[in-house]
Amino acid sequence: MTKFVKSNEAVVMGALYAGCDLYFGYPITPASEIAHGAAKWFPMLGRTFVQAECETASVNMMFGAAGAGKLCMTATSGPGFSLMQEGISYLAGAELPAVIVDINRAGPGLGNVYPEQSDYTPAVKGGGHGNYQTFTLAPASAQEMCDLTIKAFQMAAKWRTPAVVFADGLQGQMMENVTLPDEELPRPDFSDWAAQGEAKTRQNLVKSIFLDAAAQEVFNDHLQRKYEDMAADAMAETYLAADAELVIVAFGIASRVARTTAETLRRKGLKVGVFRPISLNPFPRERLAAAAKGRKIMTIELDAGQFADDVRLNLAKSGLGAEAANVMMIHRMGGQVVTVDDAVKAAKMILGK
Amino acid sequence: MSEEGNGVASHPEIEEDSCKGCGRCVAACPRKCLELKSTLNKMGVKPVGYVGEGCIGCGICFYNCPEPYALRVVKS
Amino acid sequence: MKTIEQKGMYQKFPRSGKDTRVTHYCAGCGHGIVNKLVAECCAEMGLQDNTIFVDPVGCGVFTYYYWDAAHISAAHGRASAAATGVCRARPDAVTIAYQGDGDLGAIGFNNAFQAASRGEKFGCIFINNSLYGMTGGQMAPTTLEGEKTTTTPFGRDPALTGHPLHVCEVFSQLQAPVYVARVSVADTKRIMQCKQAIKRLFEIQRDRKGYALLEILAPCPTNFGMNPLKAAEFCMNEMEAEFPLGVFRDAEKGVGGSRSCATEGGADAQERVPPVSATLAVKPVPRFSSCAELFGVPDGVDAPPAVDDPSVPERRFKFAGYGGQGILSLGICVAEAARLQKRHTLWFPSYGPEQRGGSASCSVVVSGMPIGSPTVEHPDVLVCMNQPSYERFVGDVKRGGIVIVDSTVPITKHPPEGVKLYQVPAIKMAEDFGVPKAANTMMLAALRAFKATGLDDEHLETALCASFKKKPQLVEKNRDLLHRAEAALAGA
Repeated sequence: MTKFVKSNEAVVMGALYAGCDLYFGYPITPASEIAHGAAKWFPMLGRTFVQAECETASVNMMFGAAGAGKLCMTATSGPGFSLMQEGISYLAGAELPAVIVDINRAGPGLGNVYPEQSDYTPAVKGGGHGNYQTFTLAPASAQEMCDLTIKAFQMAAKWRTPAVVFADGLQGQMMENVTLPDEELPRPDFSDWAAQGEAKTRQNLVKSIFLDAAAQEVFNDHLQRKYEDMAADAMAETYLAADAELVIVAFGIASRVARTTAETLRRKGLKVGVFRPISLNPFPRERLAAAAKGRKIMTIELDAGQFADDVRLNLAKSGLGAEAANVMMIHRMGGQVVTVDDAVKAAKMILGK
Repeated sequence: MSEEGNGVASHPEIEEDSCKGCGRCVAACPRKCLELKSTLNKMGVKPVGYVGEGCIGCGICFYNCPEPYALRVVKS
Repeated sequence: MKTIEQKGMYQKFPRSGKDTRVTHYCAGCGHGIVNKLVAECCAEMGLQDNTIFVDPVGCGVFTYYYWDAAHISAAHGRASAAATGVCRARPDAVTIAYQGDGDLGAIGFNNAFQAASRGEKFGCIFINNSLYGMTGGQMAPTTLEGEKTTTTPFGRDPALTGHPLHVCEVFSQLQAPVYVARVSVADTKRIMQCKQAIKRLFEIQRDRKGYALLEILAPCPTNFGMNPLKAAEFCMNEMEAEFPLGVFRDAEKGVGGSRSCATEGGADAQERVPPVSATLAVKPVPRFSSCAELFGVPDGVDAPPAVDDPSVPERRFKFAGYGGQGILSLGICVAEAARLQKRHTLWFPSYGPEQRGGSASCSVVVSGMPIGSPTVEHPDVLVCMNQPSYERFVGDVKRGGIVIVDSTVPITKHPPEGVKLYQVPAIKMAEDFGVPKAANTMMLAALRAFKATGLDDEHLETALCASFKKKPQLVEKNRDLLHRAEAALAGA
């Protein structure tokens, strides 16, 4: 079945196919359509929608539902995402699977409702307290808003971690074709650790507290090893990059601007390609290194350069110090989107053309 | 559990090292047959002791005690 | 021989790596008495397998070491929010949250209050010892007037810090809770009443009756600065003077008012009090058995997936006007026609406050190949229904592009060179045809007449008809309007 749907609605469809049983959320523009869709469709499938009193409540309701062994989710935008950070840390600390969708709006503060990627650091690096990370996926189309939401549930369950679907206001609002999956995913069995109110789970304890410093360190080591292992599930794609002299690195909606920019420059005979991380954490470092080695690099992003810094860090950690030092960036903030015209000009400048 | 008359008189059984010596049981006992001892337990507090007679097995000491295992009551 | 001894607790408590038989509570602490009663009731009622305790942050944080049942240890203040998640996820379980003055009374008050207001099916045990125990005896919302704490060193001054918060009295104003009561553990009589109340709390959850709150006045000898017996007396004399004991609500027993008193069978069988309004009523939710069944019907046109065709150039559209002129649906109509033609298609609206301000615009991108940038900076086709939108966008139109503007809009600005301008009396035609709302259909006729979309006429017409799927009586009317408008435009 192919439907023409708003990306925000595609998130809900994906969640339902993934076996998500509970949605907890508080409305916020530009993520509200996700709550609207969930309020309508979850009950129609006998599943649960709860309008929470605030984002702090949403994330803690997820803590309870995930702790009780069910797949659950919420969706929000920047200010709400900030409020959830403490709870996401608790989810990570108790190793609970849950999916948080952040439809990034412009900030800081109240900002406005237009697209930015400025939540990069909290969405990708673990925005709350303590040594934790999330599995973070950055869709770039309505189809991926569905598919990567499903992926987020799979990764959350596989790695027992909160997963973040990181998109932006522009993406949330746009309509595109979405081909729905043929099958719903089966519910995962969490009875070995979840508190399910059954005899077999009576001894289970869901907690993030380790009063003993040594035990807390052992747990931290375990988490860090898990995050290293997650790298096996990193995702990326390249476009026209094989022979590119300049590789544009961009994620989410910016990667689509990158794509049109590369096409435009190719028509002018310039060898430009695109590298797009699909998972931002784990970051597809090896694939970036392979695509970027010996090339000129430009990022396109809708933030102040948080993503460019992460690209530099990943290049440097791959031994590509020279490439890292020369990463250039074109960016907009405040809800403005980098135009193809501007990106083309910037790329030509870097190429000296 | 069995019927009365098995020869065992009602009495509290005290796990001295689990007692924090708060005295709630001593004050609550309707027969005034509990008292804080003069010796110290492992925690360094004076635990409750049974004076040796008078217990009617009512369990009031158990319910007033904030500790799960400091005392239990055997009822004849 | 019968023994009176602890039930429902683990035999050993492995706190901080050491096995112990004693709790972490101070001598004479009310928490200890309550913890014993909770474990005993849970065990006596045979509910240990089915119970999920939600533990707080505060002195009650370690109940998971003691109560032999499943536990979820929540963030500070959030036990009621977490318990909401638990009871929604596991409606067949018995969910019990355990919270203190800071957790429930301060940081998490709204979470607890809203959960109560929603009638979440869990029981909440609220320990009121009139201060913050764990953090060192600070003032709580429940601290008594004149009570000395580490943050009210001169006694709580109501002029500066307000009066003690009466949680039961506040919660019993809500419609949903089925049980709200305040008890104490200061002496034997009160302890036995407390046990009955805890039992009631479990019963209500076992029978899935609804939300229940049990406030328990508890002595805190350490932070009161009193010996355990004096602390218990303080609890009875001073605290009870401020916080009278009693049952504020027990819906089944007719104590206090409640709008939702379940009698049997849980949520679906809840007896509902007739709604206040005669016109507003909850409607039954249509039910579907699977995602495929729910989503298996197309919302608009039933279009196949797009097919890549590099020979089809990309075309970018901008539609702009005033809210209510059907601008967004005109854009969707073109997008749906493109989908029918197996093109890659993207539709994007203006949104947020700008949409509420009255102006409306949307972009459509149609391409033979996957679409990159979704933004339409330089439209190939611009359709404008009012003056501000024309003035805002006309300068952006691509060379070789087309501008279609309503005839009511004065041409204050000329389009860039190489751009064709069509003035179409869409609003007037729609009025003349007697359907003023159909100005957007007139514009669709213009798009067809001027071959502006690169899409088949047939698909545009099918898409127009599909847009009236929910109002079938308008389908033929709009088809007719489309044809009449085209004829008029051809004649002009």
